[in-house]
Amino acid sequence: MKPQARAIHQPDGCPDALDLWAFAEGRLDPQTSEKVMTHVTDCAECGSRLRVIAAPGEEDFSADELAMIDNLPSARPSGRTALVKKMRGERWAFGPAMRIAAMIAGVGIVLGGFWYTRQGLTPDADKLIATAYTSRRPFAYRLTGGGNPGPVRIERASSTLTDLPREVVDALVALDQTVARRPEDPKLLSALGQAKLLAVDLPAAIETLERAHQLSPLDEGIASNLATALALESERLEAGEANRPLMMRSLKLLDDCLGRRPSDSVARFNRALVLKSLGRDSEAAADLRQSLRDEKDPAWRDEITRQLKDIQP
Amino acid sequence: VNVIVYSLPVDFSALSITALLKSCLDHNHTEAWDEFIRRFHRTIAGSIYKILRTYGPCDPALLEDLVQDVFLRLCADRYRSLREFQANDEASFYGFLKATAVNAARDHFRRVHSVKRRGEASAEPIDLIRNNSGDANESERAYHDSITLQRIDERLRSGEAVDAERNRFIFWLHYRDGYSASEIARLHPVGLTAKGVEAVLRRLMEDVKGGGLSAGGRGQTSG
Repeated sequence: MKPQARAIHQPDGCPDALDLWAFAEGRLDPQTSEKVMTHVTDCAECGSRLRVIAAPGEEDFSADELAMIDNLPSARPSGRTALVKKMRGERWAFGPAMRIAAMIAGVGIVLGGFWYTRQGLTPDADKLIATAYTSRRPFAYRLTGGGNPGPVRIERASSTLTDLPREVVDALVALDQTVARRPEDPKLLSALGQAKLLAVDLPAAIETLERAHQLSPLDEGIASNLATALALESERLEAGEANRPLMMRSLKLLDDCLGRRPSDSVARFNRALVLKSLGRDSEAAADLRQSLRDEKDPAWRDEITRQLKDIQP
Repeated sequence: VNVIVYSLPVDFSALSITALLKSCLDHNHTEAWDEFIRRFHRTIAGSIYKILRTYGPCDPALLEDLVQDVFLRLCADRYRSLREFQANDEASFYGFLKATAVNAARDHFRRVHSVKRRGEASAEPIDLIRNNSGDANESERAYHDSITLQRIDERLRSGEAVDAERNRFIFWLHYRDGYSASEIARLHPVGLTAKGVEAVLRRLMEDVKGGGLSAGGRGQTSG
């Protein structure tokens, strides 16, 4: 074994015995060897240590001394067995570096597992909603989950699962399972509420979105979706005076949203539709014009323009 | 293949050190480790014993503790020191074991001294007790010996010979540490045979005597 590049002197000022061994075997470089030689010459302790290391055998022991050494517990079969057990156990023991590495790996696994679990519990809700909305747009209102404005296919009543497009069913199932595990998460509840809206299960959508709104009353996205659900329910009930409070509450929610965030183009577009339903066309047109200024998505700009033409042909 | 090999009886006592180490490290075989302890126990225990006896009567319990400490040191960090060891010859491995044993003994005394410095022990060094109990004549003789050796050392230091440092090293190993000429010759940095070491010692003694100094008669040259 080549001598290791390490400091020759230990804290007590003497060389390590492994350096003395390398010195005795002539394996140190000349400069280091000279240093060790000088030290050993002046140090009685290292002189005797060197002698122990370089001595050829045990010939200088008396019979009594040899008997004492050979009768040590570790020299006897039972003692050897116990010692072997400890020595073999070292195979699985971690050194300090391995312990630190294991600790880091452990923390990484825990954090990774936590992240993975969170990922597993939280499907990409917006993506699910956007896909479902694009595949089937049962109302003119916009959803905060996104999606492109396809042709509106009005559904007056909730459909059975078998009637719904696969994308909507996927969103309903995935979000329903996730909400069952985390029923107090307002974002997830809002996503599930939107999925129920797409399934045109309006009472269920309102119930879910109301819960989300209670949990997070200042969330503009949730309020906007609840406003959509209330407006749709109001329209479904063929908006007589009895159902006007639903539409008014929808308007109030959207007013609040735009009060807090005037650039919310989804809320502004939806408010325009609510105002239109209430017969307040000029206000609806003003919202649509503003919405047209704020909107960047060309598909939605086209939709806003179309809505605007409906009001002001 | 390993199952077949190890189902056959293996005489570990007949293995070379390299083969035995391979059996221990690669296969972690119980019988191989047992043979490892059996084969090297005396070397390790003997080395520790030699250090312990310089401090006074040897306590077998302490010796046993340190022996076990050495075996476990060799296995520490998943046998790193044993895995990194590359023997040129078998004697080299014995030297490595002795050095590890010496380190264990030295670390023990370093710990003991550290505890004493903190005032947690009241044990008195055995050398101090000896000096106190010795008679005045013996102390006086030791004092004169040390003065003589000091003068010899000064003379050796002032020498201009190319090998002055080596000669001083040989002189001290012989007169202070009790090495024989053949033992000194085994140290590779000395680069001399036993006869060569004897010649150096003889010349040094003549030089010292010529300078009117006496070494005090400690140690003997032998080959």
